Order: sequence, then C-alpha cells, then structure tokens
Amino acid sequence: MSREVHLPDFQKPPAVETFLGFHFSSLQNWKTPYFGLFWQEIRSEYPDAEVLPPIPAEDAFKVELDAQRVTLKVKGEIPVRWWYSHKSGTRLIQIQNDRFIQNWRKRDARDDYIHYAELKPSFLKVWNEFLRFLKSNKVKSPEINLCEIGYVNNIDRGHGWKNFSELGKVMSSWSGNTTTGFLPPPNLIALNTVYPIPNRAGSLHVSMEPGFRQQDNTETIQLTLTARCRPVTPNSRDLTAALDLGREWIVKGFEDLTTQKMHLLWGKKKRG
Amino acid sequence: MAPKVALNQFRRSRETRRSSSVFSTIKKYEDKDTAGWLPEAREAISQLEHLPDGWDSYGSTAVQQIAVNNAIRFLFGAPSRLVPAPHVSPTPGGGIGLHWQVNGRDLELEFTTTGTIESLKSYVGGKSEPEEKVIQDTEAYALLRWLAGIS
Repeated sequence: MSREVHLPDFQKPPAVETFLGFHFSSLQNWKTPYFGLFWQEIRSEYPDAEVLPPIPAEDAFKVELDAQRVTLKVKGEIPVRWWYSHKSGTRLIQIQNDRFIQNWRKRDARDDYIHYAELKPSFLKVWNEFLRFLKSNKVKSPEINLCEIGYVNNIDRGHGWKNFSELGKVMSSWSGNTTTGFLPPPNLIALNTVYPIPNRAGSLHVSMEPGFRQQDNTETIQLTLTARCRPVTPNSRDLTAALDLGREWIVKGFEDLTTQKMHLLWGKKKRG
Repeated sequence: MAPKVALNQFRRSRETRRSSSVFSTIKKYEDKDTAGWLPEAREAISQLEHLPDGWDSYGSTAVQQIAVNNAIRFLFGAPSRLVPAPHVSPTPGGGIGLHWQVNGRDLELEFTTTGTIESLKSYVGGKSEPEEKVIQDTEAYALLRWLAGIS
C-alpha cells in the first residue's frame, strides 16, 4: 500500500504555487556561460529564460560599514540566478550556483492543481539532465545539503473569513484570546512559525501573511508552508526520501493548522 | 565620527527575498505605496456587512457583499498614500459610501449593489457645480489624485 493513501487530499486546495528544490555547496568550476549552454540542452521544453539576482543563502554575508568611503570589489563570477520557463507557462526551473528549484503555479481557475506525484518526476527529469550537463563539462557533482519543498496557499477573503477577527475560523492554531479583554479584535495578523521535524531531519516553516493579489486586488491570507529536510546521504534514493518527508510534513501540517470547516470548503477527500 | 551604516537592517525584506517562491507575490500592507489607514478602513467596511435590513429605520436594505468586496478591492488598488482615511458609511440602497474632504475638495464614491461606482465631486463652498458620474476604478483612482491636488 502506498503512503500516499495516508495523506490528506483536497479536491479544491487553495495552493497557487508549489516548489521543490535542492540546496548545495557552491558548484566548483561553474562558469556563467554554462547557464546559457544548459539552456540550449532544455530549450525545446523551456523556451524562455531570464537572468535575475540570486536568492541569498541562509548564511549570506553581512557587512557593516564604519568608514565614510568604502570600495567593495567582487572577485570571480558575479552570482546570478537563471529562470527557465516551461512552454506550458505553469512551470519554471531556477538555477543558481548553490540551488536548483522547480516552481509550479496555478495561473487562474482554468489551471488544474498538479499533484506532487506528477511534479516530482518532472523535477527529477530536469535535475538528472542538469547532472549530465555538469558531468560533460567537468563540473563536480553538487553536494546537496538541503531538500526544500514548499506550498503557497491563497485563502481569499469571502472564502471562510471576512475579517481578521474571524481568523480562528481558518486557522485552528489561532484562538485570538487575550487575558483581560482590553484589546479590540486585530486589524491585521501575520504569523511565522517553525516546527522541528523529529530526528533532526529538518524543519517546517509556516508563514501567514495578509495582503492582496496584484492582478485583481482581492484580499487574501497567504499561507506558505516550506519544509527543509536534510538528506541522510546524497544518493538519489535519500534525496527523494527527504523530499517525500518534507511533502508529508507540509500536507499533514496544513491539515493540522487549518480548521475542519475550511477542509469542507476545499473538498477534503475521505481517506481510503 | 563617520556614520555607521548597517547594510542588513532590512531583515524582513531579506527574509522575503530568500524564498524560493516566485509566482505568488502578494502586495503587503506595509508596502511603501500602501496607506497605514488601509486595515482600519477595510475593517470599517467589513463591519457594515453585518447591518440588517432596515438598519436606518427607513427600510433600507442590508449592505450587500458585492458592494463591500468592490469597495475593499478599490481601496487596495488605489493610490491610498495620497489621501487620508475616508469616512465609511452604508448607503440606503445597500451600497458602501466612501467620503473624503481634503483642502477644499470633496469626493463621495458609492459602491452600488449592481457593481458600479457612482462619484460626486465638488469644491467646498460651491466654487463650481458638483459633478455626478458613473465611473470605472481607474477613473476613481484619478479622482483620488484630484483630491490630493496632483491632477
């Protein structure tokens, strides 16, 4: 029996974006032109590319300046990130010299939600192409130190909540209770929480931020769950296991953090 | 003594940029072009949805969700930093009224139950005839710029 059977599933999940990726030590011998050369390898599937600043690492450098005049010199390659957009318009590969990420998005109601079971193979396919490319260019295979998976959910106003005093109707972890009752109901609520995954396997990061969508100004609560798991070894089976573990924590964590009333709205399926 | 400059003081925005998410960026309340009064105005509009039929004892209909949603959406897309918080009120037909009076300029916007926006623009003291129109969001944004005295 597959472990999938034991995971909660929804007919209309509020997920608008998912991402899965590997973080690794900076690639040795990686040169900027390789981004373009790799694009040639995948261009039939990923016809568009863009160059962006890299996502800073967790331990990105910190600089404090005390002098009035400072000159900073950057030696070697200037760090960049490339985006390779899939012809479907819903998928994207991001590569920088210490990360490899696949993003999927739901553009609007016409796009069906794509499950992890479909996204993982497409991610691993491009990853394996990337590994072959590195090998053929004599770049040492990356040492993966973190497997990351994330789900971004937009819970729009009018779908289970109308103002922030009703947040408890969406998030079971939010009671809104105070000790003396002095405070009025809040106008805004943002939450950031980190849960450890046992056996030092990683952590689940949950952020809940209020805001509004750029395209239609609809007010929304953006609930993002990101699991970062350390693989036991860098072999492909353990990498996949770390992604699976992260995904399991996200899905079960999402179910645990949100209310049964919302589960009904999202069409939670009965477990087989 | 030379000024001390901390390059990493904007921890919050750094955290945001660290995310691997790329597609689903939302506009945040603390963004630089968003007015600080927006959450309070949103809450005031939202509370009106609880008014029952006959809330004014003259048989007015309850405020309708379409009016509430359109008023909130409008404010989220508006150049809200240009103007102070509006006075928020229910209208007899079940709509939402937003009212500003800034530097002798007066603007009323009504978000109706049919999804339209009706505007009434005038100068305090009757410098000219009031202008009443049915308008689109973008025209209403232009009226906020007029209210702020920049068009």
